[in-house]
Amino acid sequence: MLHIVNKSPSEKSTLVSCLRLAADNGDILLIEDAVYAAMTGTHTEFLIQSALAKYRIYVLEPDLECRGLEISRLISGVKTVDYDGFVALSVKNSAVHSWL
Amino acid sequence: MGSSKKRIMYVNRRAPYGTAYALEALDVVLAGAVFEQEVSAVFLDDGVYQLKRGQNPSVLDMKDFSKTFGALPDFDVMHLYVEEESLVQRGMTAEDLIEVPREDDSNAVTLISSTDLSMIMDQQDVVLQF
Repeated sequence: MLHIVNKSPSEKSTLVSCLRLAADNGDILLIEDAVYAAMTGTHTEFLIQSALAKYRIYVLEPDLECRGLEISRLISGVKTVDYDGFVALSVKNSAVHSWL
Repeated sequence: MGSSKKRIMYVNRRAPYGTAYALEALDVVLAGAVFEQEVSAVFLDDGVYQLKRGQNPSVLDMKDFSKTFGALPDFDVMHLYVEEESLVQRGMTAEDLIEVPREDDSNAVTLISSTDLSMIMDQQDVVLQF
């Protein structure tokens, strides 16, 4: 299943809930304000660090660029995707779960 | 009504772009500035992301309103306080932030500790949060 999260972990608990409930080996895509969670040095970095052992974690690159976030400062192991990559993830997975 | 200026503080706690709060707050600050009060803007929690250097929202066909912050000193908003604790929690330093030069070339964007911010906040006549 593809899990999509779109809010910053300091604004909403959706990332925490998603990581608690997503089944192992799932794909997790961070978009919009959730991309802040993928950066190193934040107080929530451990969430993504530990989740990388169970999931493939992706971040939408145009949302990074919009916010001035540098790819070089992404948590190691997080992969970037563009819009085509977003579509590919949606097609590859049999279901999409947007955490709102 | 007294003739003395009121101290007004705008508190920004939201990240830009994901919602309209940041953009709307900036419009409110600019509109309020014409009344010649003593105005400051504060950025804390995810609000510190509003001042991140290198934003390029044109990739999402959105307006780069971080450029508008540069106009604030012209509207007599002389202080853009950034809570240091919020910045540190997000793995950022002053180097990550845009600069907003005042007329004398000093930077209106200044880091401030929670303790000092608490004191300044307490001295305000009006506090508006976005």
